[in-house]
Amino acid sequence: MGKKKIPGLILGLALAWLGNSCDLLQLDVFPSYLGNATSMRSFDEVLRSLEIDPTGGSVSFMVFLDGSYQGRSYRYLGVVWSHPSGSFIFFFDGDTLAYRNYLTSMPGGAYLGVWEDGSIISGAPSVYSSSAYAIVEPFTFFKKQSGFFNSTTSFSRAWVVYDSQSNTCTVVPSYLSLVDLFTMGNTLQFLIKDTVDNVVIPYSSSNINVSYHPRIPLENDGRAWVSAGGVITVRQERGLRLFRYSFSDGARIDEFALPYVSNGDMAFAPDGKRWALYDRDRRRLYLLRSWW
Amino acid sequence: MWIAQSLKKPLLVGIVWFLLAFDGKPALGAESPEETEKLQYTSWGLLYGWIDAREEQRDGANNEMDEYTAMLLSSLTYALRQEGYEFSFQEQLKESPVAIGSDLPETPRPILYGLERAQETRSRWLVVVRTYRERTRFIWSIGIYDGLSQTLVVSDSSFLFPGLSALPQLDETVGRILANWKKKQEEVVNPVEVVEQRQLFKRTQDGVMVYLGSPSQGIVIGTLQEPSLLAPYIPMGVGKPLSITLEKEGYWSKEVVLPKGITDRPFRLPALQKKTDQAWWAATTLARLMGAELGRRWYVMPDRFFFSLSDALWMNYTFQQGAYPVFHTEIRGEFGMYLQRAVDAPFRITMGMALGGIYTWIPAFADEIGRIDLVMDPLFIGLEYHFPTWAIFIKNRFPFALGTGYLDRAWMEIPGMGPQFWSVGVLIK
Repeated sequence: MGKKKIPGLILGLALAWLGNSCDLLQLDVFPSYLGNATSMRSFDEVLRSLEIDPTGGSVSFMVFLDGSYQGRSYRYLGVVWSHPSGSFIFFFDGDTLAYRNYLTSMPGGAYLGVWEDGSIISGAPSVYSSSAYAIVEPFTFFKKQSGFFNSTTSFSRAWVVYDSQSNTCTVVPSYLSLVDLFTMGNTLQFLIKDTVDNVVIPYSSSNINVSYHPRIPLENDGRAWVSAGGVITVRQERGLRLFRYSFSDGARIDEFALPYVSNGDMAFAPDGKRWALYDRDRRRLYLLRSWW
Repeated sequence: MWIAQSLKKPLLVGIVWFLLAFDGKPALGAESPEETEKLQYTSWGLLYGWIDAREEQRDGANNEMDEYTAMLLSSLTYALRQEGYEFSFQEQLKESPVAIGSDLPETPRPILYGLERAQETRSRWLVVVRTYRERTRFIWSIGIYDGLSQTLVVSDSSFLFPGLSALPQLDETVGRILANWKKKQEEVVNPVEVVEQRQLFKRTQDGVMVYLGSPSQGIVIGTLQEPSLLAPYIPMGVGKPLSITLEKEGYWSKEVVLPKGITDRPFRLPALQKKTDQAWWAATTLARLMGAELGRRWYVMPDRFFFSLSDALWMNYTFQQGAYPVFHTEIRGEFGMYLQRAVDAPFRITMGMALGGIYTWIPAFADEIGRIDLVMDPLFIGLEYHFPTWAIFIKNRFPFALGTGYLDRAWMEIPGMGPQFWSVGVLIK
């Protein structure tokens, strides 16, 4: 190859490189979700500021708590943190991730949600045929009630508002389990996981008696969430990759890559506008805008 | 075969004409009238000069030619004329004190001047005589040059004490040097086919001086100002490689060999590379395509080792709903070196190391002003292609983040691609 051809070759390579720049423009050495992030917290820094030793602890799950108590609304992100000394429940502002409070010596680890009067309820995994719960006031974080549910069904990570009007009890087969739920107005949206077919099925209280419900395939990660934006599944592929599906027909709508997060936990706000990501490797908590 | 008597004479003339016209290229100096003229002209040129350093001459009262110098010149010209030669010019060198204020042309390089005059006057031989009168001694040197090959053929130098015995001694000197010159002429010289044309050089840069040989010992052919430069006639053998040197202030000089020697085809001179002691550069990098990097290099040794300081500013954006741009800037210092030996090579390989810091600003983070990731490049490698005053380059880095900001403490890589931090840029010298 003549020396005169070298600049042309370099230029050609550069143009070919830039020509495919639609995808190339999005390449990023920094976590791409930083563009969606509105806030970030180092979870260890929060723990240390509370003089809690982070060693040995890990986040079990987290859930957005959007409720109204005694005419006053609140939006929290509740994080259940497991530690050898017991379960801790941390409350962060659901819009800014500002630290609000934490509770300990509470039944926790099975679910965390909004009780029918707008209080916050937390429950422990069932032991034999009953599971412990406690109800706290959402602004003072004062424990106002505690007890045991007599139940043989395993709860999800979130608690549902008890529907006293229907007062119905559905017998759930052992291979089906409730994986996520939320209320949108007076409608309850929830997601049932079929471990035999490895799918999730979105239900709502308004269509529970309808014959057709889309069956959404689970990815290799096996987790799924439900929010106002649809059903979200996750695949482990060079980090994590989230897929969003339609409630109505189960069609895949879009996806969101988390190439830097190989071990993370997510929670989706009921309003469908926010979601939270906890990066277990970096022990960072992010609040993000939805990608839809 | 019978041929009519009336046709014999025209036929003979025709045969002779045909042989002369179509008998291939004639041997040098034999058949070609032009070349014959070149090699057989016999006229001489004479340059002479004297310095009289005696006490009585220092006030310049007597600026007439030294009598012994006159006798030496007289003896020389007489002897040559006796041999049948003639002089096409006789000029006095200006280096003589008595020549100051005369109408003689400037002769800063007497030999070169004399050879040029020999070419102009079509003189084959040039004799240069210099004399020096000091107290009781008369010193002289004589050199005979071949105007065709522009070489010294013979020379002689000696001195005498003025007196009656001086005249025979001068005649003897003249006889000796001419005898030596004749002897040189009788030596068998293999016939060489000499080029007839002058070489035409095509310009690629202004202000380039072209030397025949090296700048220190060669002859200036000329300076390129016009689109082309016609070299003076150089009596080179046909097909013999010709070595020239190109020189320009602030640029690397370059020796160039015309492999086929002097030909009738123009020779395009290569461009000289600028000596780089400082340079600006700009680049864009994979994973930073929505931005640019601007830097400046300072060369510790021109085109060998350099320090570089740069700033990159870029934005990352996923083009997805809910996403906002994230802004980064990196200040980075590099130390690099070129790996090839030639300082003016067009194609060059660089390598080095660097240290920098990437500041990241996420506008949506209201309570955080940003973070700095310290980054170390134990190695970067680059390929550069240099033009005289600028270059294009590609470069790849192998950075390691120290984990002080948003990045992990690990080797940096683009997800799914690895350490592909290729930059494409331009360097302005």
